[in-house]
Amino acid sequence: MRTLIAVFESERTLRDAISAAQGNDIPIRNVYAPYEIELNLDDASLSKAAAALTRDCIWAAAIVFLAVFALEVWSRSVAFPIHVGARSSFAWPALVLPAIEAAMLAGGAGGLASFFVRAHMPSLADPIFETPDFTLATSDQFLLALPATQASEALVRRAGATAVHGVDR
Amino acid sequence: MIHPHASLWHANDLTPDEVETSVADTVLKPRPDRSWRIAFFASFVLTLVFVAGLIWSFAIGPGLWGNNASAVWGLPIANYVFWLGVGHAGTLISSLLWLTGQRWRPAINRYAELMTLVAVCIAGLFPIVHLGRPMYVLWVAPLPIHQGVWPQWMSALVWDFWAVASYLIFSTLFLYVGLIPDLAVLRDRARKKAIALFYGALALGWSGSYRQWRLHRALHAAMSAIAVPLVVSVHSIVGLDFAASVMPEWNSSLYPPYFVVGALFSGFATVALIGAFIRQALKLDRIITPAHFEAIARVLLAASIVMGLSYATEWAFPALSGAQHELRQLRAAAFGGDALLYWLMLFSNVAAPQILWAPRFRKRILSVLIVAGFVDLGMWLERYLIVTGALTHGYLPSAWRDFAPTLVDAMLLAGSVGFFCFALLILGRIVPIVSIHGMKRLLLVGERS
Repeated sequence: MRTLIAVFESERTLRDAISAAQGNDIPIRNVYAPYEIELNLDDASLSKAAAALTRDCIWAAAIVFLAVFALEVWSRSVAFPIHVGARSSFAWPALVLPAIEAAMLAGGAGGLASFFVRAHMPSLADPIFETPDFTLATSDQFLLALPATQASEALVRRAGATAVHGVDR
Repeated sequence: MIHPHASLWHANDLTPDEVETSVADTVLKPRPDRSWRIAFFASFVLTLVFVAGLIWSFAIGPGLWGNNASAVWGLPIANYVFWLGVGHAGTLISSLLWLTGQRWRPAINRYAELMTLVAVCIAGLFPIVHLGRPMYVLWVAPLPIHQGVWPQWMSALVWDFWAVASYLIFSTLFLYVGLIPDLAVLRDRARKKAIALFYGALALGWSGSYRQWRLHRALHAAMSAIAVPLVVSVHSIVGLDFAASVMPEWNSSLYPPYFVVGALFSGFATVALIGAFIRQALKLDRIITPAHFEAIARVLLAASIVMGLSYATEWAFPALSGAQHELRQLRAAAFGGDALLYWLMLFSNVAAPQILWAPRFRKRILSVLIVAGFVDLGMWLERYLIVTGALTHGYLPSAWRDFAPTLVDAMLLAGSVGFFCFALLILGRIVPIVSIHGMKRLLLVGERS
């Protein structure tokens, strides 16, 4: 699939180009920026992915909490019970602390794993890396990816693109 | 266009390109500046002292330290709690400032997170050395290593292992998440292929696409929300190491919150000291401004008031409940052999920060640094007095023994400070010490990074 990559010098010209593309019913394939920008791209799947990432953190934390708590109860009550005076072999306030610590770690690690899956990382051989001006997208330029048509090219040039490239993506 | 509301937190004419060049160059240029080399050499010498102290301790054992039959926890445990306190501040500062949308975060969050990583690693070494037989450290791990025996889950020391290990791994992940976009910047700026490959592998194919940024933000929000309760719980558990015992003074519900605020206090003080060094040595004075130090000064002032209240509560609890053993122990601290240290601790942690009420002191970097130096000194003294005070003046007067640090104790303390600086200097040559994407966003959007 041929994609057109337009390079813009500022966030404002990028936004103008996106508005123009949306006005002409040209689908936005992607936007690359050196920092996080907020755009109205109407991408419902992305909103769902962001919400799912938070849910994954919670799931990971909950599963690990239960696993560690179960390990503690089993090892203390079944595998190696130690009877000291009248001490109970099951005392949840003491057992809950390691489980909570492990759960919080799992929440963070689960979120990171979910991020990698949903953001398609690692992605060491993306065709976008072959675009001549791609390195500028991590520096100070903004890249807009549109379907490679004559209408798209005319639109981005009108919007102030400083360079236009084509990639197979 | 530079956002008008952001200019308090950087030089007025700072540009995104200048941020990228000045920060990335500290990593990519082949030969570091002279001030970095001098600091590296000095910290390397102290690191050798630290290594010598560790080898000596491993070879001979804890008998080399000032510990005795009463003061079974000596300087190594005081150092452990101090470094853990310093370490707890970095991730807390970074996550709290992110959640509250503070615009002064991007300039300080990265080195605060690096500080956390190094300080927690150093802290973790001390209990291992303190075991005397460090090979048995795995006994606190959830493995039935020794004849099928599992760890004692009801021990505060086992809680501590879980808390510190979880915190160390979480902090590393949190640091890495914030680093990914900046690693891609280094990948794209590197001129040598090997360096570009190294940072390319670490950046894992970050392209800066809209999808990646959006998910990155969701991840950062989730991890920040987890980090705050994690930090509070971890240092509360360190407080429980003491509070769950039966020693006079230690056995108090005051300890968990007292330790959390103390960690924040010493951590912010260390952030100020490191920030001043970075600002001068790496010429980042246009990114880390006097306004950052004023913001830190306000936090130090607030924390010093809470610490003062905690010290007063330490006296109020036994005075009101009639706990004679605790009162006797506190009197021994305030008027006994360590009285000078006790009053120096109170001066450093409570009195000295009060000068920051005056705007002219708060706005001067030098005065903030002097106070920060006192705070770090005071917080170390506090941990020393907590650890040795209760043990040397316990319930049995016949068991009272003074604690006197030895040469090896001093080597481990001074060496750990040197190793802390050494590791930070090395890390500062590997990863950007300031968040490049955060500063760019601050400059161009004026919102939280």
